[in-house]
Amino acid sequence: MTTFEQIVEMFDTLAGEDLTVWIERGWVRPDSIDAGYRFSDTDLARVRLIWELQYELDIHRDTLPTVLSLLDQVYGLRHQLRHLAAAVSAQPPAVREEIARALKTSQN
Amino acid sequence: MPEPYDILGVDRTASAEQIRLAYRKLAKESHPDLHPGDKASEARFKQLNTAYTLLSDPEKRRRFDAGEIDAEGQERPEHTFYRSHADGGEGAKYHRYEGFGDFDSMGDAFAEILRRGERGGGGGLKMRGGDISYNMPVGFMEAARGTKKQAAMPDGKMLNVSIPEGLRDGQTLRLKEQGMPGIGGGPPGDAYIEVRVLPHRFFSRHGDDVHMTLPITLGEAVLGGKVKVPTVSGPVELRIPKASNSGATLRLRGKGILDKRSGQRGDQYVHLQVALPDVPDDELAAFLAEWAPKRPYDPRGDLGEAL
Repeated sequence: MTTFEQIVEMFDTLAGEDLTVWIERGWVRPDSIDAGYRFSDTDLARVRLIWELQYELDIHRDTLPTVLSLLDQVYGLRHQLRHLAAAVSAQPPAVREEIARALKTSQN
Repeated sequence: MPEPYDILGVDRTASAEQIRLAYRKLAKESHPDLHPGDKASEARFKQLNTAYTLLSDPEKRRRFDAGEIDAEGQERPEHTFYRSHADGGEGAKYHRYEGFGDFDSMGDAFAEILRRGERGGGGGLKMRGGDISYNMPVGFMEAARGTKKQAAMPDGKMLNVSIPEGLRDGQTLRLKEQGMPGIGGGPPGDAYIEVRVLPHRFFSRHGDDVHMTLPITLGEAVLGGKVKVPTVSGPVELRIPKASNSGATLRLRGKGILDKRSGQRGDQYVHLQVALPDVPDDELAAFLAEWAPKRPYDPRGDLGEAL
């Protein structure tokens, strides 16, 4: 678990105001506790991603929400697709073959 | 490893601005979090970063151009990318679902299947979490004797690591289920820790044998005697034979490092080094001034015609 101050310390060009804005906009959603925020490893990785997009890759502030929204949709879809793939792979071989055949047909 | 200029696709004469723009363009194309399904993107991005870290620092770039340093070893500290979190269990809180309403008649059935999947019900939807790799330094004695310890990983995670006796430099430890959390109640992935064994103040290791240099007094060298010697498994008594010279090597059988596979221990080799008194000894000097060996010796005889 990481605190707000530790995160600002960790990234040299990250200002506290930036991080506050990111949290307000819901781009980063750390747990809120009495003494402030608590960032999980996932939240920290998320801060690093947004920081890299904005400062390293120079993605414009106005474009950033679009990029993040599309990214979150991609990851959401990957998550669902994985569930679906796991469900398919748990089926008996005959069912899996049937699904594979149906997939092939629908692609053409 | 390819040339950093080639990686960034710029001339050796490129300006700092040209290098920065080339990096940005390529980083956008290869950032792993923007390409979650592309396994190779992580390696490409690391290579790109290594090249950019080198060439964006004027001093490092100058030294590289002058051939003073090579392109290796400029990497930024390791970190896990967002995608490994986003694809794992906890990342779900950032996922966005816009639904499948646009799938026409298929939409409802599809959404229903996936909704059930989200709740982890229906069976067969458990997924194992991803594996994580770390590097960790380990003390010489910790590796020689084995230990259990709590260690902080570079990403801040605390792990209970059991270091087996006789661990070698570069070996990889597998910590079962200490990787990324699983999905839908699936088991977590594993953590892999590559260890680097740190050097010791006076022991060095060659295979399973341990070497050390042991200073002895002039008296111990000439007259022999018993001295205490440290070994990886605690101090032992060593008998120094009469007339032991500097450079003589004594072996302590079975006092080296355990080879887990064979169950055999290596040996410890003690290299003797004669040490004169710290403070010049007048009596010793007086004795040597008077001393006329009956059998004179020439320790430099081997140097022959070079003298």
